[in-house]
Amino acid sequence: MYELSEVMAKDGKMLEWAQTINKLELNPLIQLSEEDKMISEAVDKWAKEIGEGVRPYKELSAYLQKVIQPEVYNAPMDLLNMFFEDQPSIGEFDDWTIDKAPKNTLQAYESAKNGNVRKSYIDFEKITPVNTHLQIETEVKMMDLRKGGFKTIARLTQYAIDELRNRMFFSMFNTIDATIVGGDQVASVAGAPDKTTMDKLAKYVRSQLVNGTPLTISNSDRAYEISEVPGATLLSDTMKDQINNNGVLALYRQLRIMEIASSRETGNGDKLINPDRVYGIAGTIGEKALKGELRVLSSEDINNEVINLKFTGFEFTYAITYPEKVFKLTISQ
Amino acid sequence: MYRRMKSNFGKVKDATFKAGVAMKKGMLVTKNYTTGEVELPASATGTNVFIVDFDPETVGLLAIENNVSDYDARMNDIAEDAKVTLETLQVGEEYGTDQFIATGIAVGDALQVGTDGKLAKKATGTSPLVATDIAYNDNGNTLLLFTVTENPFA
Repeated sequence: MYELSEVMAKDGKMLEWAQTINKLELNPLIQLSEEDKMISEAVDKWAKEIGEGVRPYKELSAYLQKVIQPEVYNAPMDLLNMFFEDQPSIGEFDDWTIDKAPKNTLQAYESAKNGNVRKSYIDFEKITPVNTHLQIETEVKMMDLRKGGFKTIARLTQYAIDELRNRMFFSMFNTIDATIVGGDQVASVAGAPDKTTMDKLAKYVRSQLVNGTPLTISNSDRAYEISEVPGATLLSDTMKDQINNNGVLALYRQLRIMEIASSRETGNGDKLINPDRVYGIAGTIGEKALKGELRVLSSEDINNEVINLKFTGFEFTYAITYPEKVFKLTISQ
Repeated sequence: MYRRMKSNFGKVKDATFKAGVAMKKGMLVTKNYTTGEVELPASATGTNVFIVDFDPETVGLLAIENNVSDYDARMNDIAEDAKVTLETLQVGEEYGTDQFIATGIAVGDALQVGTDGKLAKKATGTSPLVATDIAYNDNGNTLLLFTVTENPFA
């Protein structure tokens, strides 16, 4: 008998297994490793027993919690970490505030010696972060557990993780979008980013840069259009290679061009990043932390023969400490 | 097709009736206790209706196919005389169904079940069934969400 608990103790192994199984559907030629096969067999047996009602349904939620919790809490979210400083996670009932480095408003005056000039002051601020709680509820038919077995489990595992992460990303970008409303930080253009607006964006972002990587972030279509902006005459051979091999340039005037595939969406069909936006970001703009712990609650409904699942307690907290470091370009169609 | 959006559990799900006429999963139907059949409402109503549900017999190709869409016609078309199960509506629950006539419905409108078993706008008066989302996207399928505001069996 293969000991499932031993595998589950290994970080990321169960998610890796779930991803392999989900890929199997697209490409049946994938060779499963011996270990993957054994996990599949063990999970299959176990899922079917839950489906038959002879094994406690709580094992399903316990499994999901054990696998999903470390994935959404510990795995780095590369892109967000480029401009949100990642803080250690905090407890469910804890709070935090952020000390923002204040603007240097000390003023020096030209004066005669041995006398007074005006005092100037520094204003120290604290920032209260935004807390967001995400919850997913779903039900699994016991029939599906008996029929799909390990496949049903693999799907649930991966999809719950994906949706939580996608929604978190979506929610944070919505806040960024809503924060930036006017002034020098916004521009709009019809159709596609052009040289005037992209230069405005690049100039602004470079002027705000203290440390970190300046970047543009948009969906893949906009990144493609940004790569067209410099025009063929300005391109070096390396840049031509980049366009031909990757579709997009690596940099636009010092700014890294980051993209999110335009087809990626959350479960309800919201695009992960607004297709009509290009954001220019000058290094770190804020801090984020995860809060509490994901809990997977379940109940068995024998009348309907389903297991109700509730993924709750997934909280994240973040603050945009430097909203001035974001430039928002709106594209109107 | 219908979905339980927010539902109580531990409810009775009557599995003893059969379909009096051909219908689709997610329609709202009435019970005929004399014949033991469920029927489409004789006149437009918002009360004493159940959501009709069923799981098809695993025969033929269904036995081979592993993943069948919940929206597949075979999962939704209920033949006359097929055994069905009935979802009881309770106050506070929310359901989504694709068996509706969208004409004129706005969020907050009272709904009634037509003689075709589909939900439609109730032009005047109140109803226990109230629209909460007129175009919920369930994996590419449009559902009408409605909530139950008072006991439909009172």
